[in-house]
Amino acid sequence: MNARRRVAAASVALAVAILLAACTPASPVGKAPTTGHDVSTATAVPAPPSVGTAATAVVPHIDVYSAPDGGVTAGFDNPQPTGAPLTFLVEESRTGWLRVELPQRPNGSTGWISAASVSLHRLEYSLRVSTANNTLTLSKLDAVVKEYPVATGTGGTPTPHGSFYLTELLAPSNPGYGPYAFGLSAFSDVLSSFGGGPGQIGLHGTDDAASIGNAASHGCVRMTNDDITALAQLLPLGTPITIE
Amino acid sequence: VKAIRTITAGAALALVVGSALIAVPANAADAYINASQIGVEGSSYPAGWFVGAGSTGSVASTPSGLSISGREQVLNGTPGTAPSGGLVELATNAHLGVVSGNADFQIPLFTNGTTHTGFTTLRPDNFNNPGLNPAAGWTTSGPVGTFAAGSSHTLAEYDAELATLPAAYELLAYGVIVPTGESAVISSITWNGTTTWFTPQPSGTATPSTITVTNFMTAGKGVAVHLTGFVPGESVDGGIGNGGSGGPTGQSFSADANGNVDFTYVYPNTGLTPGQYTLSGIASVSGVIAFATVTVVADPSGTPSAPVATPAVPIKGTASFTG
Repeated sequence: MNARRRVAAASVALAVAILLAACTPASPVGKAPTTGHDVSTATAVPAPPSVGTAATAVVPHIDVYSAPDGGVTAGFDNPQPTGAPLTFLVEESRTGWLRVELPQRPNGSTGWISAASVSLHRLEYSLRVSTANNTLTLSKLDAVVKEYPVATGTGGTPTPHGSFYLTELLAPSNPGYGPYAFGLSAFSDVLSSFGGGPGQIGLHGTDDAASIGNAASHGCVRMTNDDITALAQLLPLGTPITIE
Repeated sequence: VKAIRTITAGAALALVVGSALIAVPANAADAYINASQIGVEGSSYPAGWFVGAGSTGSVASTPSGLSISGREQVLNGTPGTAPSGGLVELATNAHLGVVSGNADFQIPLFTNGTTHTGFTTLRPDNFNNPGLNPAAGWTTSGPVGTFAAGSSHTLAEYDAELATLPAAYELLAYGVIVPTGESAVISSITWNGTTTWFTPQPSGTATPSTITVTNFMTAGKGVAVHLTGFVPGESVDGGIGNGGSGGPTGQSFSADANGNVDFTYVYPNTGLTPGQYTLSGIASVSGVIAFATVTVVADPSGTPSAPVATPAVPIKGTASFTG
């Protein structure tokens, strides 16, 4: 059996090389076929010019389709109920159509919208939240700009993980959120409603500065008021935020 | 004992374009057989896989392969013609994939292929060791030339003895026998250039099947890969390629009880070209290869006319986020 394992292991290494080298590429990377080298060193192309594209509605209502020319699955009014412009994060584009992330449950929903119904803007900033470390990292293109301490959800009301985007920016008139509060396209996995809202996750300031750096929230990402003010003056709607 | 899978997988893979669901043998000479497709012996050996006469046991398909309880003979009545290298070449290039238990290989043949007479079956002497060593002793159930029934010889000796006979021999079948009281699980049998897999046919999906360059490289996004067809519990190594280059991802997995492997792949570099990428899983022992393809497309922001987004304008109002 050991002999078979040795032979099989060697054959697998060869199989990897041939299998991978033989696939027909849609866009070759311009290198000669190689045998099993680490693909992480295989290519050298310029970094993308942005981290994503925001699609801002230019019409009062946008229908969402299951596929280009497919059936309508959802609809969103512009502006949003808060008054913020309806904004999506683009995942994919085809002629006349865009597949966008949707600000609705379940988390991670996407759908197709008409490209003619939105205006596009390149996004240069992105956010990454670590619920394990209670940190938020701001990056511009590929470069880290700054890391901030934050508070994230407790064990009972965890901050959901996934890829989301900033949907709106409020200057809250009610206490608890600090001077600014971004809405996210994420929703709590355990709270179906909160404070009259649908359980939407926010990125905001706080009246409880001592909670920063801890797992202390109902799912939102809290920052110091100075930090959220800095982000509010910098970030466009549509900015991608990854929570992990 | 040779590698389980003939390394011509790329020929089949190259036929795959743009589909997220891949369910093809990696080798055109591969076949996938389950228990319901195994026939029974009639007045003569049928073509394809069948249960031999005198079998009193059972065969059943499992995620690990064909589970055989003795006494049972499982044979393929389409053995092909012997190559110039004879029985030695056949055995050298053959493989019996035994996942568990005990099974013995066997080669039924007519010593006189012209008159279809002189039936015998050759089996390795060393039962419980499924190796197909042509230099080891093989016992013949019937006489072969001057070799008496029940005698043991190497396959080179059989080749030499058969060559002295007035007519060429005829291969009738190949397969396994599991004696009474024994059981075995067989994942595959390779013979005369063809591999029959008794495991489920490998397949794979990538979700999403189309992804932008940025999302393919972004932690928390990437592609969710679901691969099936491995032997439960076996180690599977991840791989990625796009034709021009490729190699292992550095990820290793253990197939679950149903032979599935699930993982998320995020391209580790800061640069990536659009195109079709293959995300694969290669089993280190069984040799099963399953893969899925994902099409990486340019970011929509590649449109030069798209301006850079400006900071959001705050709206005065009541917040109702979860806090």
